[in-house]
Amino acid sequence: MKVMRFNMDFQENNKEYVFFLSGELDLSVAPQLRLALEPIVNKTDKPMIINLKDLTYIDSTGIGIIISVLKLRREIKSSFVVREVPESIKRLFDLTGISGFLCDGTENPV
Amino acid sequence: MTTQQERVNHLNLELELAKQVQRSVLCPPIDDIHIHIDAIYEPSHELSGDFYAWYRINKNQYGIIIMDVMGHGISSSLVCMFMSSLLQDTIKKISDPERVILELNRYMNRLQMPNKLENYYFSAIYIMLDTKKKTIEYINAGHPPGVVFLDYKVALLEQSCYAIGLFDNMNVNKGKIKYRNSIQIMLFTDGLTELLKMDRKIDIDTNTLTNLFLDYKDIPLSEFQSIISNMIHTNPHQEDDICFIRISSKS
Repeated sequence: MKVMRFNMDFQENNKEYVFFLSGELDLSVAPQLRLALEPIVNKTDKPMIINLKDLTYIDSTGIGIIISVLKLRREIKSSFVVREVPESIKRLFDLTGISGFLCDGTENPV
Repeated sequence: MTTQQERVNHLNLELELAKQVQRSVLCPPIDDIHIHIDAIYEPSHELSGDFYAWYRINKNQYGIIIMDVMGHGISSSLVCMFMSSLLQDTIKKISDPERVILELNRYMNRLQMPNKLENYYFSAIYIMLDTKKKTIEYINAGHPPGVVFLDYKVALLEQSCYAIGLFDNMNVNKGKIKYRNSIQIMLFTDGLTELLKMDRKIDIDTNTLTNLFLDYKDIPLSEFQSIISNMIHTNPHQEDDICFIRISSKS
């Protein structure tokens, strides 16, 4: 099985904080992702975006991180959006039952 | 002074003991005049995030649950042990699928640590089987569908709500299936599908799985266990825990 390395790119512009995730997000890279998200997740001045366009795999730990960000952003009444969810990952979100909270059309999920 | 090697050895010993504790709380098979329930359980590491339990509620009713806690290893197995301590009372005293799932969700939401960017949750299927009325009532909380063979037909136990522990408020609607003669139910965690498809990025469809279960539904469970064990040995990339439950009614 060929494993695609997990990669992360962060971009900040006038409008939003955006994380681009690519490759395979699983238990082994969860600490790396948490560390990157931590300084941004409590910022209330701009919406926070996670773009999954190039993500090829996510496991339950990865889903747990995204849900925890969603809850934390709700608590501080700040916008959080998951963008460009690939079909295979959308199916997993559907199975876990969280698509309605994360996928397209949830620009204001609070 | 303890050397690093001694600390590693001690930790390995502790993990081995913890694994035995975890195995010891799994329910033994039920094989009575109404029903036969048994399982295959293959943790990937020393400790598992997969778990199952079943209890006879009264003369004709049985409550059965399979669950898969996110992640694997020590923290997932602790969540399993926490839930296992609640399951017997919850299943025997509450029984009704909707109320059982809501109760488990209430407990799970106590465990959360949002500031750590960690959200513990688990997927599960809970079934209440009534051998007198010949019905099953079930909830699938974000879990791969269970496969049911009844009166020579096939049905799927598909999702009723999201996984347990994700959010405080949960809408649950139980499904109901009635059978005339006999029923056989196969429940599994996604470690089994990952093993069968060899590559975690490829989806395995339910038809393929149903056909596979059709081949194995009547063989002794120990034979299916050997097939799975062989597959695990030939697939060094097996990363997830595997759990499979087979419930067969007796006419």
